[in-house]
Order: sequence, then C-alpha cells, then structure tokens
Amino acid sequence: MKKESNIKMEDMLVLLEHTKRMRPQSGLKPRIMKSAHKNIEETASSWRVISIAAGIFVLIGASFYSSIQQQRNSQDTKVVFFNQGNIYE
Amino acid sequence: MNDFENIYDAYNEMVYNVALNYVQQIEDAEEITQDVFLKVFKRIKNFDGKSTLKTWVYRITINASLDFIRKKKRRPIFQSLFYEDRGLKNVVDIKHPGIILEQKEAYNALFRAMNRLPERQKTVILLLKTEGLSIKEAAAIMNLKNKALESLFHRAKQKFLKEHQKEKDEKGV
Repeated sequence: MKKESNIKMEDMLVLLEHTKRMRPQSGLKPRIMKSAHKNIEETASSWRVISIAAGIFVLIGASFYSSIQQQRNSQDTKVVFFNQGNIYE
Repeated sequence: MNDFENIYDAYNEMVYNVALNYVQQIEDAEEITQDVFLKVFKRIKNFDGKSTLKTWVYRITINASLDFIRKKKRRPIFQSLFYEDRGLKNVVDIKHPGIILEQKEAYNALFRAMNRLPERQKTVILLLKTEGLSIKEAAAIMNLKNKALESLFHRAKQKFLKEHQKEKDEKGV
C-alpha cells in the first residue's frame, strides 16, 4: 500500500515537472513600462507638491515672524515714548 | 529605465510562470507579474546584492503571489456568509494554460491538492518541482538551511499526498 502511494507521488511530481513554461502575452511589457513611467511622474509630482507646500509653510512662518517682530518693535517704541513722557513730566 | 527593461527581459517568463503556478489563472498571473515588476522598479535602488538578482526577484514574486491569494481570501463579511469557497481552495476548474490537456483531470486534482497546502509547503514544491531549482537555490530563496528545506519538502510531500487522497475521496474517484 505504501509502495503504491510512493509511486503515485512520484508520478504526480513528474506531472508537475512537465507543466509547460508559458510566455506572458506581448502586451504586458508595454503595460508595465507605462506603469513604471507613470510611477516616475507621480513621484516627481508628489515631490513638487511637497516642495510647494514646504515653500508656502516657510512664507507663512516668515510673515508671521515678521509681524510679531513689528508688533514688538511698536510696543518698545510706545514704552520709550511713555518713559519719555514721564521724564518730561 | 534601460536597466529596468533589461531586468524585465531577463526575468519576465520566470515571474509569470511562478505566478501562474500559484494562481493557475492567466489574468491573475498577469496582474501579479505587473505588481512584481513595479516593486522591482521601486526597490531596485535598495537592492543590496547580498543575494543574486534572480533570488531577489524570486522572493518578490513569491511574496506578491501569496499576498494576492491572501487578498482573494479576504472577502467582505457579508459575502463570506454566502460563499463557502474562499480563495483558491475549492476552485473546481484549473485554468492553467501550461497543463497537458489529455491529463487535465489529473492536473486539476493536483493543483487543487496543492492549493490546500500551507504557503511554505506549496512554495517548496513549486520551487523544486515546477521551477526545477536545486535544494541550494530554493533554500537561498526561502532563507532556510539546506537541511531545513529538505525536511520542509518531505513534510510538504506527505501533506500533499493526504490532500490529494482527500480530493479523490470527495470526488468519489
């Protein structure tokens, strides 16, 4: 019984070995190349979006910083004027 | 891009046939092949040369094929209530274009039994038998020692025989 199973097993494995090698259809290569190109473009455009977003963020940050600086400067001036006022009083 | 095209030309048949033996459907094998080469394209810069390029492409192909089968198994809950068949387990008619037509029934039983094996056991049989790789090559791909691969293959054959017998009993052959 065991011997019979072994023979069957070998037959089955031989059958597997005889599975024909197939070639993918010719249309697959251009499809894959196109996807690869698309991937390059998508990566480039996502980098573009990231750099634009980073640029906008820097601009907003810079304008926010400069407005705070301006505000501080104007407060300093007020203090000076106030102090000056006191001196003259 | 030229390097990528050379890789495609060198390995497209290998990738396609491995995928085909996993899923036994032309359309699915093409989808896996496309997925594999996109992964190769994205990851080729990180290829460290610790293994051969062929081994690396084999690994990507095996993982992509197994992922594809896993995704196929994951049906939405409501669908799984109505479909007992999940994934390839109970596929009745194997649509592998590489089988010998006169032995279609024998191949059907063979692949159905293969589809019931655990992933690693199926992989070792495919690598050694349909791909015709040596123990050393298959062990490198599966990241195993030669001895471990041999024992995995032994267990795979035993399980395969059981599943094949079950298959025949269910069909009443």
